[in-house]
Amino acid sequence: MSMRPDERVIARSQSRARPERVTIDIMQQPQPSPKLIDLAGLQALFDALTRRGYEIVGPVHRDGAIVYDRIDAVAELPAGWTDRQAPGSYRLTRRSDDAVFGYAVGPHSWKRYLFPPRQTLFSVQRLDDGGLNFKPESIDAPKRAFIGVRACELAAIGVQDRVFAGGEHVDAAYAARREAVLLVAVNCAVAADTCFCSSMDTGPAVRGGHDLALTELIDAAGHRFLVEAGSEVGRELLAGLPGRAATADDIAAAGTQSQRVAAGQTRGIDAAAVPALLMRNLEHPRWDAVAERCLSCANCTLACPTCFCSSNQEVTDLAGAAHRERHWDSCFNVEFSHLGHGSVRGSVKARYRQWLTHKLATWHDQFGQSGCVGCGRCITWCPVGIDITEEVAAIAASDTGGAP
Amino acid sequence: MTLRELVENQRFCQGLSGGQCEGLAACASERRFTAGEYLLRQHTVADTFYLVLEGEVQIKLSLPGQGTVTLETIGPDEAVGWSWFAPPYRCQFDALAVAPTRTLAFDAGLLRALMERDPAVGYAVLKALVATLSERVQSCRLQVLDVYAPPTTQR
Amino acid sequence: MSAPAEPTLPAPYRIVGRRQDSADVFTWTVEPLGEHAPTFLPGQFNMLYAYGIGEVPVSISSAAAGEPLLHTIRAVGSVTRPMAALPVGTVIGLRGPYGTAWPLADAEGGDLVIVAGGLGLAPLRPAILGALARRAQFGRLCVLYGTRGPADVLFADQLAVWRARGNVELRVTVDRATPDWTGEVGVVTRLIARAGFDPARTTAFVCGPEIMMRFAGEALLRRGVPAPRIHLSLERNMKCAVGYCGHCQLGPHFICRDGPVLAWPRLAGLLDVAEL
Repeated sequence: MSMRPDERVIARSQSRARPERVTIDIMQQPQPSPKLIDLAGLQALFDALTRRGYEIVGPVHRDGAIVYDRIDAVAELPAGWTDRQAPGSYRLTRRSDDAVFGYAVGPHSWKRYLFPPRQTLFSVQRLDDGGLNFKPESIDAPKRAFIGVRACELAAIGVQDRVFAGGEHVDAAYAARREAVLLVAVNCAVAADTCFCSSMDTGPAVRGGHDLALTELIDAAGHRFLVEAGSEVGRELLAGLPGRAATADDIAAAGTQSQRVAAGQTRGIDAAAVPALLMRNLEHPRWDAVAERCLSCANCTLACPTCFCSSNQEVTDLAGAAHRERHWDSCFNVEFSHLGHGSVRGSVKARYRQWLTHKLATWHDQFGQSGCVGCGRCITWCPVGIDITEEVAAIAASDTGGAP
Repeated sequence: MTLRELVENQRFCQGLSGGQCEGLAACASERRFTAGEYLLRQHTVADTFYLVLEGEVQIKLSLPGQGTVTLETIGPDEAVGWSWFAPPYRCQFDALAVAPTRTLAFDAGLLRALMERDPAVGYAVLKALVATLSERVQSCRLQVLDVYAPPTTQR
Repeated sequence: MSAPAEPTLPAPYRIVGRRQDSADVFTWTVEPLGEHAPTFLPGQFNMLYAYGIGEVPVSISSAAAGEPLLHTIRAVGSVTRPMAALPVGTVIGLRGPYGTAWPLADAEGGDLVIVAGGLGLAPLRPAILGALARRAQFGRLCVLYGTRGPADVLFADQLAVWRARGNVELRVTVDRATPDWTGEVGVVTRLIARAGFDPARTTAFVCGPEIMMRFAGEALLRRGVPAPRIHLSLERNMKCAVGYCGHCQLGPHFICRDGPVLAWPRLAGLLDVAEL
């Protein structure tokens, strides 16, 4: 196919956002029926990916959390673990079964792989005649397969696709890394208390943008996975997996599971109303109230799968070589808005307001969608337990309506 | 143009009725200044209120050992002076014409008497005076803010 | 893969001229070492890089055509102060141009009012030169310039040339005068009431400290200039200059990409919220 990397990336994220607009390859071929595989079949998938040259990254249990790391075997998955999340709280507890995907989301998101915390942009060499030689850094875009990508995470990848590859300036490194990634999604079987993907319309069922989607079913009928393809590559992989065709009962079980997860979510945001709500309440006293609790620690921006702010830094060594590095930054850092006399957003209130209004409101003006996918990480990982759904509800409850 | 028409055309007098402008015109005369002539002098009696028709006036203050410094420029359709309004009726600053300047000069004594006699006129003039002062204070505050100062300047 | 990791890589440029404009403002004349010769529009900026020091956004202060490339810089921080010490002949990195331009073509057929405060005259200079190059396409051309004091007046020789033309209403005012200053004194917003333009057919370009731009915009509105015809040039912290680092946001706008030149209606409700 002669599409540029960024076009393919956009096509994928568009197919997530508007399921009726599917990528060209899906339309050209009849949809294969889903397969049912077991744990051995899952390992066969891992082996097939490895044979095709993919580095597999998936969930592991480490340091009391489920994080993403390099894996090769199904045995490395966090079998039998689930998470209990609440504002400012994350605990892993044992399940009564051995489900390998029986948790919601951990502190890591996939953005650390697609938009790494540190990147070298270019190097600069000072020449003998005083000149400067700027050399771009070659792009590191390893073939990777992400295992266990939740619907909210697929949505978040789509959001960052739009930020980095959907505008006038395409971040070529991001586009390359994105193109080299294969997404094996998982339909959630549980939701954490902090999840609100249902109200943000990003899940819990996987919508699109994946190569393969798994639904783990573990009950009296056994421990099995419904596998569906979402792309040409996915179809090829699916065809090579050992398993049987899924029955109507299997498919129904998967659907029921999804509905149960959605219905179980207790938190939510009125996604359609929130942009206008926040922008007409920029002086609402709730911002002062949240500022009294907020430590401006930037944890939320680190955990958030869509936050994309970065900064540049010159790094020089004694030998006379310099390079420019790009690293994650956060609007909560007071230096972030530094200008001449000082920071434009000197107070914590101003910085909290910036983060939330950008995420839920002005992101729409900039990118045509919400910046929030409802994963709940910011709620769980806030040391003081600030819950954005609660903050929005408080402002809505005493909406000033734009009156000063 | 008659004095009354000149008065009516001034921004200062926008809130005044035709009759009120007539009353004001009776206190006024047209007065010209050449470049270098003073409209008002520091420490003298504030006996005249000016509205500039044409030209340029500078408000100046002499500082011991530093010469005279200009604080503000006043142009056409703007007012000069408000010390005439309240005791001790003394000018605080110099007002110097720096170009050939035409003004409407109002006799302060007559103007004050008119305002006392006719409270409606008095209130209308006072409103215009407050509006002028408010604009001058705002400008002055912006000057004090020193917005063009380098960022390291202590405030 | 050989595509560059950075969407825009600096190109090497040499400082071929340097002029001290005032105590803390200087202007560089720069020339590319290689083939790099992008065209730019008045109001745009480049990112200037000094080896081992850092990179800053600087407005282009030269005309879009017929003049060497100029950048006027104020030495205020950890990057611009060391830049002020760089000698002529130093090679720097330059990438750009970025940002939106002054809508000069839209202003043709009417009066053009330029309101500059302090260093704000630098990004307006290309617009003034652009208008002068097509003087007949405009009605009245008013340049209203306010700065701190007589020692801070930028491009004084150029101002004299403009004044001598006879078809530009040029008014220069200072916040604080010295005894030898014979020009106007007071904030630049006062000049707006005095200038001879017809508000109904006027376009205004405003650049300076944000508070000065707010007051100037309000003064222009009070005189009857339509809000969509008032354009400001805003400044925010910039790192990437291409809209992906997030630093330069003001409400929904990325100042590096949706600005720096923005029309008044797009800023409504944003400039008067403290710390937005």
